[in-house]
Order: sequence, then C-alpha cells, then structure tokens
Amino acid sequence: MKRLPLFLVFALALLLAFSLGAAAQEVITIRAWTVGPDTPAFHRAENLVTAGERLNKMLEIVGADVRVEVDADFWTDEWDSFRRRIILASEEGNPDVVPDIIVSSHLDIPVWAPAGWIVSLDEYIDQYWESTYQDFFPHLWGAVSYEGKRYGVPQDIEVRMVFYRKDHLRSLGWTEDEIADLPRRVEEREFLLSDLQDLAQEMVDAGLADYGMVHRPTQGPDFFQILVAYGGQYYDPDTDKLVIDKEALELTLQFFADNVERGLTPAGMTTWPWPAVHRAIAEEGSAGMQITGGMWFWAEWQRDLGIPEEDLWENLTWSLIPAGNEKGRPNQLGQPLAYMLSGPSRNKDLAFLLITLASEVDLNTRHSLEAAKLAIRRSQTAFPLFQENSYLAEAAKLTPHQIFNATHPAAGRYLAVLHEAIGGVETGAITPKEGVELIVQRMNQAVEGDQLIIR
Amino acid sequence: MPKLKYDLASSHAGTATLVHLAKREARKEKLLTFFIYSFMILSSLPLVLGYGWLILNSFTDKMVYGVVPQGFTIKNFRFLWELPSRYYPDLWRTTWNTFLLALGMTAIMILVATPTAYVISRMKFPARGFLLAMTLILHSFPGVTLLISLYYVLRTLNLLNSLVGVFLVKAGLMLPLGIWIMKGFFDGVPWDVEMSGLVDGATRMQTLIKIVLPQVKPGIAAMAIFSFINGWSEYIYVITFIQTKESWTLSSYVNSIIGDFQFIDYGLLSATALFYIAPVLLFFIFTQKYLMAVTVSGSKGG
Repeated sequence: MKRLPLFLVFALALLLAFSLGAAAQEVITIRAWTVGPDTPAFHRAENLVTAGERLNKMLEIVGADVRVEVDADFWTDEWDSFRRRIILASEEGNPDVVPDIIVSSHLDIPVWAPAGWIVSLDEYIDQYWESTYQDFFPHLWGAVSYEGKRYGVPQDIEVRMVFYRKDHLRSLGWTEDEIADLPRRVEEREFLLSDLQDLAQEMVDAGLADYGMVHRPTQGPDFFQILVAYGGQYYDPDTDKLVIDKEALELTLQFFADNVERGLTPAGMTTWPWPAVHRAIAEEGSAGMQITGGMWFWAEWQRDLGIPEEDLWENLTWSLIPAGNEKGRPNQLGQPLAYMLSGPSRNKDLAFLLITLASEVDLNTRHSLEAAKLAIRRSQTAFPLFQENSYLAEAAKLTPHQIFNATHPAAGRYLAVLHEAIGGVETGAITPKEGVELIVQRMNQAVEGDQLIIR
Repeated sequence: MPKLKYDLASSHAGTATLVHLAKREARKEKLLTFFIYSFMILSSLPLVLGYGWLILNSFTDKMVYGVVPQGFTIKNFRFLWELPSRYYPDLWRTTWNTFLLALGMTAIMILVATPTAYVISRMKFPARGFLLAMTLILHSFPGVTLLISLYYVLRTLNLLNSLVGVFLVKAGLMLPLGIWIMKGFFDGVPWDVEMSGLVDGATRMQTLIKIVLPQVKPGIAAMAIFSFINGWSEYIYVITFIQTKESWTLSSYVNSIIGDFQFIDYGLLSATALFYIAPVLLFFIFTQKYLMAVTVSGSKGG
C-alpha cells in the first residue's frame, strides 16, 4: 500500500502552524458535498472524514496547533437536484455556503470550469504527483480535463454493461460453458446487436420473460454506447466539438424502434419507474436482458433489494454492448466521478491535501468494495481486499473497451436530446429518421453552429 | 248522498293524489340526494383512498399487490428516534424550521394584509383603483416564473440560505390574496357600526381595534390558516433559495426520502409523509369553520 510520505504532511503541518501562529489550537472546517445517488457509494463522504481524522493524527504527532474538521455531506437525491444545489450555491459565491470540496461527475467539469465555480488542480496535483497521483490510471486524467487543464481528481470509475438472465439462457438450452463464453463472443464480435435482439426474441417467444430487453428509463450517457456500437461518433476530441453522426444515430434509433416493434421492449420504456427496471432484471426475471446497466447495480441490488450475492451470481451474467455492424465496436461507457475544489474556498491547500489523503489505496478500495466500483489506482489492483473480490475482478475485464462522455459544455444537452428521440421512436410518435432531424434541430438550438459537426 | 259519496271519493282521490305527489317529491329528493352524495363520494374517493393508503402503508411491513397490508409495524417511524442516515439533518430542527416558516408567513400576512385591506376598503386616496388592480396582477403571476429574479434579489439582500428570505418571498406573493380576502370582510362590516363608534367619540384607531376587527375575526382566522398551510407546504422556494441542510423544511426532508427514485422505501416515505401532513390535517379539522366563512365573492361577513 502506498502511503503519502510523512515528510510532506509534516511540512504542511509546520507551514500551517507557522502561518496560523503558535497561539490557541485552531479548528479549520473543510466542507464537502458528495453525491451517490446510489446509497452504497457513501464512502465518497466517509473517506474524506477518515482523511481528516488521519490528518489530525499527524498534526497531533508534530505538535501543530491546528486541527481539521471535515463536514461531509452525501446526497442520495436525484442528480438534477444535486447539480441545482451546486449551481445555486456557486452562483451565490458565499464561501460559507459553497463547499470547499465537491464530488461530482466529470461531465460537470466543462460547465463548471468556465463559470469559475471550480479551479484548475494542475498545480496541486503536481505537488503530490510522485507520492500519489502517478499511480492513477493515466486514461482517467483525460476525462477530468478541460481545455488542457485538470479540474478534477478521479474518485472512482465504473463500467456499464448488458446484464443477461442466466436462468433464461439455461432454459433456452445454453450450457454453462456457452454462458461463460458469451462475454468473449461479444468482445470478439461473434455476437452482435442483432444477435442480442434475436436472443431477446427467443426469451419472449419461449415465455421466459415479458420483455426480452429493457433499458434505463431516464436519460444518461449510456445510450451513446449503442451509437458507438454502430460505428458512430458523438464527440471529436481533436476539434473539441460535438458530432451529429446522422447515419449512426438513425441506426441507433432504429434499434430501439425495432425492439418495440418486435415486442422486446415496452413502448413506454422511458416512462418506467426505476424500481420496476431493477426488479424486472434482478429479482423477478420478467426482463431477459438489461442494456445500459451499470456495475454498481450489483451493490444496490444487494443493499437495497436484499438479494443475496450468490443469487446474483446464479442468475446474472454480463458483457459489453455488442457491436452493431462492421463499422462499430463492442464498448462500454464509464463516467468517472471526481473530487473538485470550489472557486470560493478559503482553504484550497488544505482541502486538496484531504483529497489526496482520501485517495489512499485502502480508502479507495473500501469505496470500490462497498459501491461496486473499479480501481482508479494501479496499486489498488494488487491490494488483497480488492483482489479477493470476484465481481470487481470480472467486471474490470471490460475496462479496455471503455469510452467516456464528451468533455463539452453541451454534452449533457446532447444526451438529453438523444433520450427524447429514443422515447419518441419507442412510442411510435416519430420515425428514426424524424428522430435524427429532431436531434439536429435541438442541438442547433443548444449549440452555436461552429461548435457542432453534422455529417 | 251520492254527491257526498262523490265528494268523499273526490276527497280521497285528492288526498291520494297529494300523497302520491308528496311521495314522488320525496323520491325525487332522495334520488337527488343519492346522486349528490354519490358524486361527492366518487369525486373525493381518490383523496380518501390516497390518505388511507398512506396510513396503511405507514404501519405495515409490506403491501401485498400494493394495497393489502401485511403485518403491523412501527419501524417505518424510526426516523422519529434515529436519522435515516447520518447525512440527514435533525428531524426536530427541520420540523421547527417548517413551523417557523409557516408561522412567520402567518404573522406577516396578518400584520400587513389586514391594515392594507382596511385602508383599501374604507378610505379614498389617489390611485386606489390602480393599487387594487396592481395587487390583482401581482397575484396572477405564477410564483415559479419569478424564481430566477427572486434568487438574484435575495442574493443582493444577502437573504439566501435563510428562512427569512423564503417567508418574505412567500408572504409577498400571497399578500394580494390576503388583501382581497380581508377587503371583502371589511366591505361586509356596515358603515353605520363604525360611524356610531366615531360619533360616540372613539378615535379611528379605537374604532378599528374595538369595533371593526372583532367583526372580521373569521376573516383574519381564515387568512391565517391559509397562510400557515401555505407556508407549511412550501417546497419550490425552499429547495431553490436554501442549500444548507440545517435550514431545510419538512418538504425537502420528505423529498430526500424519495431519493433518486431507484430504491424507494415506501414504508419510510409514507411514515414521513404522514408526519408531515398530520399537523396540517389536525389544524384544518379544528379550524375549517373559519375557512368556510370565506366565499368566492369575498366573505359572508362577520
């Protein structure tokens, strides 16, 4: 386990002690707003609290007259309400209200950074590079960067996958070996999206499931996975522009329209309540597969639905989203969450030190285990507790095919519009072609022309 | 005799007709009553069922098929003695905040709307009609359209994250309704009553306090109840203007129990919702006679 070198902490403690004077012990409160919404992710807040306790211990050892109090909040309400809270507080700009540390999605960085609500962390990261941050998986830094600067420290990363009901596969005559081989077939393009649809059809026709394939009802970056599976592109990192790939978008929308047409997906899927989706795939098996699933569901199903892990192993398996055609590729999308420092914070140095301590291997690992999230540091994969967890080890195999959402201010708008179009084609209100036109129209309204590539 | 017979017969026939008519009227009335009650029962059924479901769900482990309670429990009320998670604010502090907001709004409404309505009702002054029209226009604004501008106003006044800011906004938006209600009540107090007080040597203020205000007490009570309920149930301004959990009210608390709609503990949600609405229901039951004093046109008078 890699530890932050003590001399760094001692140096900081002395710096604090001198800067604050040798008078009475001072308590500095560092406030943090973190988000689940998945309840098992509570270590996003708890790790900061533990980091504060460890820092206080070090300060006590060196005899510094300062202590840190960490006031960490964990939000389990919706993402929208969490973001609204941050936005409203940041707009007010009162350092007594805005937290010092924010833990949120990397998607927020392109919006919050230009507004000045969060600050670049390049200087801070460099200070602790050797001791801590050189150990992070390099590809994660790209996801938390905006215009060449790092605004976040990766807090966790996950994979999103297709969940399959193993019991239904067995009922269709699949052997255990065939089931175990499915992820490889998907990865090596032997099993395509059309095969996924056919498999769902078999499940429905055999009366094993009411619906062969369900998906998340709410908007999310997950739907870009299908676009990439059909060879599409939604972001051009070279020009930093969003891409409207009309051909791939139409194929994507056609996929969802066909699923409804064939009776694989309910027409009102985008209006389903989340609990119904979770129960259908994890508890009842009334859905044969779930595309746009997330690896953290594994923890939620155990914690919130009370399903024993052995039952999950018995009934569920997973794979990447299969490729849709020869141009596309199997993939899965990750959405890293990141620690950020707020612009109005009065204690940025100290807050960043807490982030660094909260990123210790043991703390990040306990978060991974509890919330079913992947490692963000190389050392974590060698950490015994992490290695012992079969689920994380298996899910981690999907990592090489990871894609990220666009680091663009209008990326959130794009995924909302795509979700709207999917809802439209599923209910039959519009055709896939009209859906593409709707996306073009909406995105033209939302983004300045030169920020959009339409092809 | 035959004539008498005829008369008797005629009289019998008349009585029978009358009885028949009376019976028919009674039947019609019964039928009408039946229809009225049926309509009222049917139209209020969703509400009654909703409350019934809420109460049943609060005290049961599980609802089979969503409607049949299975087993009695009070564990759904555990939020009364323990936090649902350590990231929740203290329930009693939140309840106190809600109470303060409702009470603060009520106080402002009584203190501002009553004298304003009295002046508008009784005195002639320039632009009185304009003032009345403007008041009505202000009331026609859906509050939600003012959210952003109000946010900046409160930020300028340094009143964000403060319950004072919320109840000032709420009271401001509700004042027109209060003024119109109270104006209706003041209009209903005959001039003669007030005049006799003035003739007897009372000052204008004494007349107002000792003669007029007692006459419009039901109006003040009704307005106070409206304001209290309005303040108690406030949600949108609380979540927009207050970001610190220490200043949450019960509406934010209940909302957070719902979470992100993925894994809702319906038992806990029902119990907290019941806790939230219970004071208002009780308040309403004990004070509804005052609310009945308000009619569409303004008031029934004192």
